[in-house]
Amino acid sequence: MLKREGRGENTELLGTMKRWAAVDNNVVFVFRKTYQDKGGMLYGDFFENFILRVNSGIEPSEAIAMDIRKIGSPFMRNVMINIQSVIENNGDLLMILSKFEHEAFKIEKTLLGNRIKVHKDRTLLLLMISITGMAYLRLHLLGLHQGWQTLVFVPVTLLSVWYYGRIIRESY
Amino acid sequence: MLLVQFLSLSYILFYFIEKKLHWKYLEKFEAFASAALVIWGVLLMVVTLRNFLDPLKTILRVLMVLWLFFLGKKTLENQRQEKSQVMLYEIFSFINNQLAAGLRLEDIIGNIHRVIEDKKMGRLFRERGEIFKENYDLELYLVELGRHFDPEEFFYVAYSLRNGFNLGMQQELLSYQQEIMFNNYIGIIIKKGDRNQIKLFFIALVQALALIIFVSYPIVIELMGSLDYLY
Repeated sequence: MLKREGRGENTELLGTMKRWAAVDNNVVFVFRKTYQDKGGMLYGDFFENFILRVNSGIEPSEAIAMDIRKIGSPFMRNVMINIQSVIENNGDLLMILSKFEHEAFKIEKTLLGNRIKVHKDRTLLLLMISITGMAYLRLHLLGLHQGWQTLVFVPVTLLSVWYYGRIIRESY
Repeated sequence: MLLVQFLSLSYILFYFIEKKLHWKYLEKFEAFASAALVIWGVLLMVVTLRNFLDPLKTILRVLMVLWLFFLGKKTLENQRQEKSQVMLYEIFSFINNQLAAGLRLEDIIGNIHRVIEDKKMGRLFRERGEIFKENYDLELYLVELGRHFDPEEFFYVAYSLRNGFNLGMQQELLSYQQEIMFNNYIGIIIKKGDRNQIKLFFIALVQALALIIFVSYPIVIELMGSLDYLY
């Protein structure tokens, strides 16, 4: 599954789950109804697998445990672990979901702030990478290319692209 | 080469000290070890550089080594603190949420290991939880786990567990504490964003340096050639 958060998906999802939990304190009911409401959502596969497994006779807590490692976002994984523990011991789902909705809202807001902060530097780096690449090619075309230029160019671009990917994955 | 050897040796030493020792001895040991390592490094420097002893250069080298050493130490400490803060927040929120959902504390303690991402700590929590289920000795559980965390941060987790076990729930107090810990967690996320910004800027700088070298190299070569023609 994709690791994407900070676009309001988690808050929205937890909100719908909370609303259905207010109707009935039953996990299967809540998951089925949220899947009906938001079919093509971020964790759609997770919900689909859960419903399939429960229909085929597996216990709800076990069905969650089977797919929990496939959720990319650590926050949502934490939520699912909490839900799993609640199911096993017959706890109150509504309480937990409303708490996590509040937390998700705050976390996604700060992640949005991070994204805005990084955006300018990101464009700067992309510009620099493209300009250096063009300069390297230009030197090739003019016949001014030498061996050490490749030795500088390749590791520097590889390093910057790797770092770029890592940072974007963290903040986007 | 010597510098690299020295730095790598010191890092390896600190890594083992951090992993193996109890946190109580760690501070004293760290102070002693850092002082000893610095003296050792200075002596090595003096011995190796005595043949071409330039006082300014040696002082600069020593200062550089010291700076690198303390920078590494500080970053390691920060990383450890951040990791433990996030972990403790996750544990605390798990306990608090489950208590709010109406579970018994005995059931909660058995499930804490699920929240923890770190494999080693997860194994420890699972083992301790199983022992707790056998003898219901909360103090033993807390003492054994408290060794692996900063005592100031671990205090509130212990507090919440004791409250839950002995007095039932004190939901309001615990929720205030959770709010504080959550704000710390948010602060860590914000700090990460700032750090990413700085990192991106420095990588762009490296790219710019490479570009400058590419462009200026032929110009410099031509300039040298023209200087030869002139004189």
